[in-house]
Amino acid sequence: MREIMPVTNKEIIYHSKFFENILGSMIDILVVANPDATVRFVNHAALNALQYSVEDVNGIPVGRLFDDNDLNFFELIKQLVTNGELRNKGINLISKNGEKIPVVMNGTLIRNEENRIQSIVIIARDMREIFNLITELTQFNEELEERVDRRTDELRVAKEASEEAFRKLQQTQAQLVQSDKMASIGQLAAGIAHEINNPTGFVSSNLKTLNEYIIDIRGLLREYDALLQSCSHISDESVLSGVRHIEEFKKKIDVSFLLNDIEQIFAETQDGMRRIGKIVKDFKEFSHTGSDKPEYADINNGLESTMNIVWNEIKYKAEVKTMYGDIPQVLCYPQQLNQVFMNILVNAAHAIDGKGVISVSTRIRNDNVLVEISDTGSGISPEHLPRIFDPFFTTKPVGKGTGLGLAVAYAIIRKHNGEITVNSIVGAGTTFTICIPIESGQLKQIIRG
Amino acid sequence: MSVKILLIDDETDYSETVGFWLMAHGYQVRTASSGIEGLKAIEDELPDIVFLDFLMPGMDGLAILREIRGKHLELPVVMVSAYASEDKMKEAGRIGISGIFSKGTELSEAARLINKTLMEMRGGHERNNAGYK
Repeated sequence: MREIMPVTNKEIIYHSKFFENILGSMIDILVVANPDATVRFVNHAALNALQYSVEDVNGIPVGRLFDDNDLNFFELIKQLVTNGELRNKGINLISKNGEKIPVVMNGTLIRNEENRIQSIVIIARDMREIFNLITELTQFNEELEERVDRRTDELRVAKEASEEAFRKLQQTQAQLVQSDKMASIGQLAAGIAHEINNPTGFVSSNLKTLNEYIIDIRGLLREYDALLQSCSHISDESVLSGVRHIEEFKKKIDVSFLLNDIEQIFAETQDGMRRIGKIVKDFKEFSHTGSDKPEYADINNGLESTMNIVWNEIKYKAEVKTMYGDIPQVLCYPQQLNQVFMNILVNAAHAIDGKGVISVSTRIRNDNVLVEISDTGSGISPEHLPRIFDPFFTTKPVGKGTGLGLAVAYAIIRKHNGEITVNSIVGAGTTFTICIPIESGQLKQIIRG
Repeated sequence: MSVKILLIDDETDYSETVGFWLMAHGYQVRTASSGIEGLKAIEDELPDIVFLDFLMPGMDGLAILREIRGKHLELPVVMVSAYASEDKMKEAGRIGISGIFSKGTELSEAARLINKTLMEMRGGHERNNAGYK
């Protein structure tokens, strides 16, 4: 008997020890189930993780080791039954004291020759450590993202601030350049106005005197005429020849026309002088040198005098319709507002191809004066519209526009605590609306010193 | 002794899955793949609950149900079906069943329904139900 026995007891013990050692040294959880779904074998790692003793666990329904609320378990059984195996499925095990242990599990279902279930082998890897790491990593990631978000926000704020600063700098520069230019023009205009003012004064006064003289001389001529009439009855040849000579001379110079024409020439000349006077006055009002403090001024007057200054730019392009409202005096820098009106009016004229209409209106709204300047010009395209107040933005050809006009206008209106807005329809025209507080608190403070 | 469940179903995969799942939860499960086999199993050892498939080759679910009711008026029977018509369900209801659910729903949903049915029946078996947590 002994000779034909293939394995000795010693060998059986040796081999079972050998496999026991292998299973005992496994780090992964091993669970073997019977066909009736009871636990047949668990390894050391399983006992450790599930905190069962061998006596506790052997023979209990295997479902007790799994999270009962987890319907995944049912799906896993279905896969095992239909496919004979399953790989890398996530599920929760339940320890003796109810702790959930996330695992990744592999399983095989072994069938006998009759295709009946013989045993089910489950190998599961405890994922707690990895999940903890993942949780930590996720947290760290979230923190990192938060930090990045925060930094991005900070950067964005800084970027906006620097952009704002840059915009302000550009505006200031533009204003400086423009006000420098305006100051020179203002000085020049004031100089010219002063120089013209003097001769205009004495020419006007002389004209008046001259007119009086001529009236006197016309009286004298009438007296002479009467004398000539009475002389025609005298039959003295020398007197008659004198009378004839005078009549001929009168005919030659066409005295009646001449006397009429003198009147007309005087009227025209006086009108001319009045116009020169007005231009000089407008120049003075426009340049208004000396005063850099806000003062109460009539906006309607400002618009009118500005319009006269730029009349040459406008007259061939547009018919100007004005609707001046009954508005109070506004606390402002009048010459600066004139500059705004001028820039907008010139732009309006430039926007008109051929012949159009420029409408200027003023009215009061709440504590503000509204000035509306509309043109029937070509309009501003939507992509240009947001940029028109940007310094150095211009659609005019190089050398034609500086791109400062509206930037300066914007800055000036802001300085008045006002607002300037624009509405434009391509092909229909543009409307600028300027809203200025009648008495800006800020300007009031400047006056007070 | 734990609750004894008899599954009568010709689909082996299905009864094996449900059976193993029930066993894993501590129920005693016996499976039968035909009506004849099922009726014989009932005679061998009276189960606590029967899960009975409507559609099977040979003796169909309704016929088996009538046969069971002929001998065991009180035995809880849950009808399981993939395609049973409404008429058949009504007929089963008339003969007397404890519940019904469709195999067509997700298996996990079926599992939930089985669980629910068992929980409802547990009242009378609780003391014996050592296997179930």
